[in-house]
Parts: sequence; structure tokens; C-alpha cells
Amino acid sequence: MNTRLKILCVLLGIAYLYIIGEGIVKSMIPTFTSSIREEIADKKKDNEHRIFPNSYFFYVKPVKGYYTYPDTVLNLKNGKWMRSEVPLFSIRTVNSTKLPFWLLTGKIILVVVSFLLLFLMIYIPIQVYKVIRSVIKNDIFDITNIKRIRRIGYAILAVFACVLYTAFIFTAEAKELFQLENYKIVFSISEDYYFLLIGLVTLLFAEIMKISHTMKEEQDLTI
Amino acid sequence: MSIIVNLDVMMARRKISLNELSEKVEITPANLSILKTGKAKAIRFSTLETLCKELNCQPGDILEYEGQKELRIEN
Repeated sequence: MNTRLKILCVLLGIAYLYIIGEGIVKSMIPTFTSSIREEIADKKKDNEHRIFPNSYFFYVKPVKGYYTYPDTVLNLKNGKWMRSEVPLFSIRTVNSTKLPFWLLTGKIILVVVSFLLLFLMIYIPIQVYKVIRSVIKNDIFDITNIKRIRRIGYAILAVFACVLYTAFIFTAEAKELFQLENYKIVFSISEDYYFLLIGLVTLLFAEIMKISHTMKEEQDLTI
Repeated sequence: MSIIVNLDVMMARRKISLNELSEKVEITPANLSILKTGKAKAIRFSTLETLCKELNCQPGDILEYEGQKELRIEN
């Protein structure tokens, strides 16, 4: 067995687990715990005066274009105010505006999309683990392996589609509800474009593996 | 594939078993079986040469092009 290949597989596994783990530790757990904390704090209030705030996330662009720095922040180290601009807003507010029907339908579909995303986040690491395990067992050019890699590619592209849809709905909802003073709300998926890139590279890799499999089969059946 | 391997026919003619032939041509019985059953994708000239030598035949006795049969019938 090629030691270099083995080491690369183990490193890939560690990198993948780190990316997923970082996402869970930095984003999912704090959001989950803070929302539970807020819920507990709300329950202590009088039931009649309880409010149900929603969270909104959206990307913004200064009305006058990029690098116009419409805001200011205080630098506590020297007490000076500095000009700044914010690319992403996370807002938590109570909203009573009625959303249009298409947006409500979109939000219902978003629940399904969220479950699909959750499924994919579990499905992809399992498939990656299976591929790594079969590579370690020396079944690199196995046809099942190639199918698995192809499925991973499609799953990553599906993740990209889900992210795209989520960003679209969030932006549309924000545009419907808010109009900001110095900023305009824009559609952006920021660094999530890498899902598209990784998905396509994975599919390309699967096709290369398929050609390699055919060549290996021919080599094996040459007497 | 339109190439037919007639190794089994030649082996029967020479009254030689698969294991015996595999020992003589120094090919594993498994590989020789692949060749005999027509599952092989390609054959090396060196393998063909040793087979012809041991079976005392020509390459055309081992390999046959399927289209030729139809051609003969037409003629």
C-alpha cells in the first residue's frame, strides 16, 4: 500500500472533520445555546408581555457603493472613532409585517431544505469515511468507490443549491421587511461558492477515477 | 467482442489440461482460464508466442475473427 496515499487520506479525513467541527463549534452551538438562553429569559417575563423576536441575516452594500465607510466604530485602545462599513447584518427584532404569499411558501420550503441540508451534512462525511476506508483497504479503483465519489459530488452540489436557496429567501425577506439608512440589502452567498467548486472538482475526480478503473480492468485482463 | 479465443478447442485437440498448459507456458491457471473463457481484453505477443510453441499451432488457430464466418457463408 502506498504510504503517501494513506497519509493523504488520513489528512483529508482530519481536515474534513475540522471543517465540519469548526462549523458546529463556532456557529451552531453558540446560536443554539444563546437562543435557549433567550427563550428561558423570555419565559420569566409576564406572559402577556412576551415578545417573539426573529433573527434575520443578510448581506448589505453601502448605498453610495463599496469603500464609502458610512459608519463609525470606537477604538477602545486609543479612544478614537474610525470610519467603517459592515458587509453582513445579523438582526434580531420583533416583526409584525405580513409577508407576501410567495415568500411564506418559500419559507415553508426552507424548512424542508434545512432538513435536506442536515441530512447532507451527515451523509457526506459518512461517504467520505467509506471512501477513505476502502482506499486504506487498497480497493482504490473499485466501481463502488467511484459511485460513492460521484454521489459525494452531487451531494456537495446539492448543499450549494440549498445554500443558494436559503440566501435567496433570507435576502428576499429582508428586502420585504427592512430599508436601511446607509445600506442597501444585496443578494450574496459570500464564501459559500466553494461548495460549487468542490462539488465540480469531486465530479471531475470521479470521472477520472472511472477512466482509471477502465484502464486498470484492461490491464488486469491482459494475459 | 468479435475476436473469439479458440484455446479450449486447441487444448482439446492436443489433449492437454489447463493446469498442464499453465505450467508449460508459465502463466497462472487463473489467467489462462480468463483467456480460455474469452474474458480477456488483450493478449501479449509473448503469451501468444509461448502458447503457439507449446500447442504447436499458428496464432490463427487460437484466435478467430467472428466476421470471417459470415464472410465465408456469403461466399
